[in-house]
Amino acid sequence: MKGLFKYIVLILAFALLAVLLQSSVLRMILPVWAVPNFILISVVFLAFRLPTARGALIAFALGLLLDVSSAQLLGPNAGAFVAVFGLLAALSQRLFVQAPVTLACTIFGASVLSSLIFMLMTYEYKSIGGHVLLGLFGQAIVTAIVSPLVIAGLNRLVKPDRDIGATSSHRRGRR
Amino acid sequence: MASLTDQRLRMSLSALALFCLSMFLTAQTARDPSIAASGSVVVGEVLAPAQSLNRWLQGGVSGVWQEYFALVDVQNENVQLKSRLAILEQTNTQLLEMRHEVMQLRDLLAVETEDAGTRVPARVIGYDATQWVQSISLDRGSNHGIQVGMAVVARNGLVGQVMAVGPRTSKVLLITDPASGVDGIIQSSRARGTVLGAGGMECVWQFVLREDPVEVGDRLITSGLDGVYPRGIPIGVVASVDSRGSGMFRSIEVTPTVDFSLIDYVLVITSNQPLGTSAIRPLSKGGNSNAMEGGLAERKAAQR
Repeated sequence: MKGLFKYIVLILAFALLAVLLQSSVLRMILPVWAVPNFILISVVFLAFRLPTARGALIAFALGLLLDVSSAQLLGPNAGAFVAVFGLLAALSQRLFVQAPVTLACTIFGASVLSSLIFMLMTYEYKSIGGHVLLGLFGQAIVTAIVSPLVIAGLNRLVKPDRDIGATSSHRRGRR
Repeated sequence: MASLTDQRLRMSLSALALFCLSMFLTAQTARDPSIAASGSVVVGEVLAPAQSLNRWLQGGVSGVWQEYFALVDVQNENVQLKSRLAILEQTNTQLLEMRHEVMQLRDLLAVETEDAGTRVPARVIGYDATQWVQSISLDRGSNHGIQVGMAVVARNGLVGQVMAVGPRTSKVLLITDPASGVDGIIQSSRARGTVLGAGGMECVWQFVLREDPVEVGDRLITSGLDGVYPRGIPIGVVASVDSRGSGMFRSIEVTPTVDFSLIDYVLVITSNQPLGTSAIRPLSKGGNSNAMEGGLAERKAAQR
């Protein structure tokens, strides 16, 4: 339980740092489409490392953090991230994401999917221009390119052998 | 094995429940955006010191670059600037004379002049973390007299309006956001319509009557009729006019005069209080401005 708490704190600290990077540090020097979505990368990381109900709750919290920082609608990012998490967590035993190329492809797919879900959820309330769609496609590519590095960093930050619920359950399952 | 299946089932059910919760929250906050705005204030206040530090560091780095490394062609530029300065000094003398004359006439007519002390300068310390919302964060908040709904301008034109305020930070919805709407008129012909954000860096000018004279290159300014933005602030320049179709209105693209990716400092106009308690209206597709509603109502009345 202590391991899980530490895990959650580390992921949330990473998320805050990611919001800072996305909203300020990188956004001041790069065009908006070239800023990677670090939060989405951490959601994909979670889907493979903690494919449990707790993982879903953390993915929801990460999305909500983005929604809150935007100050417009609460829920679309949270919903999109939870849906992406649910899908990837369900497929986590079948997908091989150890190779950087397959990981980048998975992140690209997750990025496009989360954008589509966001647009569906906000269809009634928000119109999205063509410029934004192009930007989202660019961001999906950039996010996919940097994802192997970020995932490697997250793997170093959160050691796989920690007792975080998922690993212990998997062990029990194997027994 | 059963435990693994149970775990997956629990995860799937939780994800489904959380997705439904997200849909509910989206619908709720679309009706009342102030909920999201108050949450944003907390995140803004937490991140503000780091964002300010980042801004300061980036300012230092670019300062070093500009002062020591980017000195190529400075001599040519200096000669050009000196010649321009001579012309401007001449113009300035004429303008000072005219100003003096205008002031005397104002005194005679007892016209009130604008109070320069009602503008709060603020520094841009961040942008939105996603591409879905076009907004900026400022390093000034309610402690400095800023309130929700106040207009924000830059050196060369309109920026947007304040949508969330914390004690030391505030968030500004840019005019390029699809949820923003500004009542605008063409400076020369006085043709009127509503400027809506198109996402990205562009705006669209809607509800402009087909017979109104509008040409590419026309300058668009605020009309002041929406009760949020003061009159006469430059909004943008007409980039293209689409006269196809047979509807009552034309679709016009507008390029804002402000480059939102380059602004460092802005002015928050604290004297022009918005109409109603909250300037951010419930979201609806195609903009949320009272300008649009007001403009349409006026047009309908005129048609009748």
